[in-house]
Amino acid sequence: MFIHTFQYTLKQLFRQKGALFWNLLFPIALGTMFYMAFSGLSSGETFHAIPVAVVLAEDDSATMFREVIDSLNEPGDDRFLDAVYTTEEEALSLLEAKQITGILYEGSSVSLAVSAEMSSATLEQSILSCFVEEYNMQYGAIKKIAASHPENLGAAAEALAKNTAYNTETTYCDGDMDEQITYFFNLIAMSCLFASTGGMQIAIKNQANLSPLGARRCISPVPKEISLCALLCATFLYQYLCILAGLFYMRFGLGVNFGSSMGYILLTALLGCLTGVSFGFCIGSIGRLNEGMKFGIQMAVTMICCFLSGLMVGNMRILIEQYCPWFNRINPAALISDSFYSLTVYQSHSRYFQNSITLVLISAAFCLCGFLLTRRKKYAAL
Amino acid sequence: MSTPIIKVENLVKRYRELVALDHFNLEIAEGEIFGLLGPNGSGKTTTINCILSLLSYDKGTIHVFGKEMHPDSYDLKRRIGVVMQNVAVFEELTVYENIDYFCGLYIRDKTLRRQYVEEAIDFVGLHEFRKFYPKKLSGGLLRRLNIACGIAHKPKLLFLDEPTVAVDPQSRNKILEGIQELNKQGVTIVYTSHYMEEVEQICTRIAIMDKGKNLAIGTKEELKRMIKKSEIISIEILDISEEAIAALKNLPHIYEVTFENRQLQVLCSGGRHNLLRVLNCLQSMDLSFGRVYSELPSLNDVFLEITGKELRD
Repeated sequence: MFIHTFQYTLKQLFRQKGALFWNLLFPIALGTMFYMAFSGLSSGETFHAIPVAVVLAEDDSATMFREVIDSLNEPGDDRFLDAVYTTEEEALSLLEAKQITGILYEGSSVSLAVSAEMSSATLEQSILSCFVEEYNMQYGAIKKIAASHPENLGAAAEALAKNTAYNTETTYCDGDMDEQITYFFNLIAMSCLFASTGGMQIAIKNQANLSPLGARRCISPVPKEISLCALLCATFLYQYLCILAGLFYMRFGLGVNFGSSMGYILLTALLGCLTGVSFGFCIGSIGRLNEGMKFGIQMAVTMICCFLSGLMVGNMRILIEQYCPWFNRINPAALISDSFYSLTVYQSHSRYFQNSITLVLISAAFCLCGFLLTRRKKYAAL
Repeated sequence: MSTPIIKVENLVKRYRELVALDHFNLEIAEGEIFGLLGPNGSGKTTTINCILSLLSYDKGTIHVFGKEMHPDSYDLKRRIGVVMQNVAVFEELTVYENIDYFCGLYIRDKTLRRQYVEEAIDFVGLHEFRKFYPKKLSGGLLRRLNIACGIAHKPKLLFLDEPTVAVDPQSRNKILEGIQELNKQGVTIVYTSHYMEEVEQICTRIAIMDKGKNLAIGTKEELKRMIKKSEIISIEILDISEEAIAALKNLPHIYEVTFENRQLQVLCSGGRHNLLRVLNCLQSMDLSFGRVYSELPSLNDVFLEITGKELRD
């Protein structure tokens, strides 16, 4: 009877177009939207080589400057300048045509000419200004040392060449610490909690006082516990497969970097699904509220949990942690999202396991509550 | 009566202040088509739900197949089929799958189940629609599917709770014929309806219910014998004098004569040849008349006389 009910429930679930949309297509669509929105944001932050014209002086002093320019003009990821050597007239015409950001003049010192009309390139103009200032300062220092202490010229050049860093960045994670990834984590958390709709249907379709189908099941010779277990397992499997499809789409379709702990991520999705289904089952089992009202409660609770876990406002979870930390310990959306986050941020898995155990306990509590509420054998009214 | 297949004793069910079943008693023998007849809200569905152990009740005992019925009486439930008043099928499953699913809750053996499902499909005449989803079926076909889901596992006792509500005449006839056929195959049937014609047509014994009470029980002939009215004679006539009406009232077994809208109605309380006597009387008074009808009392008349109201009030 278990397998019979399990098979037919799976069949039904996969044929529910509405459920497929909300459980599969909606998270995929939302993930794609996030991806497109975040791609636009990061493309604005990418550095491009600054186009400049270089007008060299007609003496030997230009050799050093030319070497510096050439090194900064070398093609590659770290290319700083997109320089072209030209005459002053041509450089001015290029600047007027807004094909370059500025003109570097080689003289007793290097000078910069920019166009006031290029308001869109103020950042690049500032960078060029800093570069010229830095070059002139270092060139002046070397010239001074060469005149006063020529024996120290080599050491001075070496000291200037060395770019001393006074602090270092240490990575404790193997994934992407990009803040934007938390949106994807929250999206998966939301998908997991959306599984509550399926859980709610289990309760409704298994109680004689809530649906004719429930009445038909109750008069069959299949014990309610077996029927409920089969329904819960089938719904859970269906929801998990939907989550997996969404997760794989984000990982391999959109290229979201979830780090190397994919196994743990799948486990969290599994626990999240379990929590979602059991939560819906519990809500669906409460009293004689009609289906619409139960659906309303379930959606409201899901969306509030997602909101407070930071799905809509990125730093919401941090705010909750600051003012109401206990809520983050029991909010399933926050727990799921935090489990993912801890996998990419922390080397230790203790926080991940702590969250996972909490999810298991919450699921068990919801399931127990649902079973207790639906256990009644006879109804006072149908 | 041999050991009853259903025995309900002194059943009381209250919904807060409302008494839905008031010391209700019932015995149904094996092989019967037993009709529970009563207006909406008379307690028919409540009775069935109590017998099926879906509803809790305040007092009384219920025995099915000689054993007390409990929610976990799975051995008893295995032998019971129910066709609910509301259609209870899955929208996402086809006709075949729906029947197979519900049959599968009773029958484990796949080969046997396949055979039973095919038989149920043939029985309700849904062979052409086996791959249809319920939303593609008409109201009548949907009701037939609902019946197939309740009978596919070949129950020994079948409850049919108003299975013909909102059904077209063709499907209704098909359903009623099917019920009689099932009974011939040895299924005991409990049939509830507020359509007296259906109950009269198929039921071997009938209980008339109102306000949670069992007002009368017996075969349709027994029920009709319980009331005073045994024949209703209607005659089209242009006009009739008070003297003529008085003369008709003096005839034996005639207890009421009314004349309205050129229609003379004569109510008889028994005896034979009443029609002949009435027509002879009219002829003797040189009264010409048109069409003449003679009707036997219906269950509605029984209900009317017992409760003072129409069955469909």
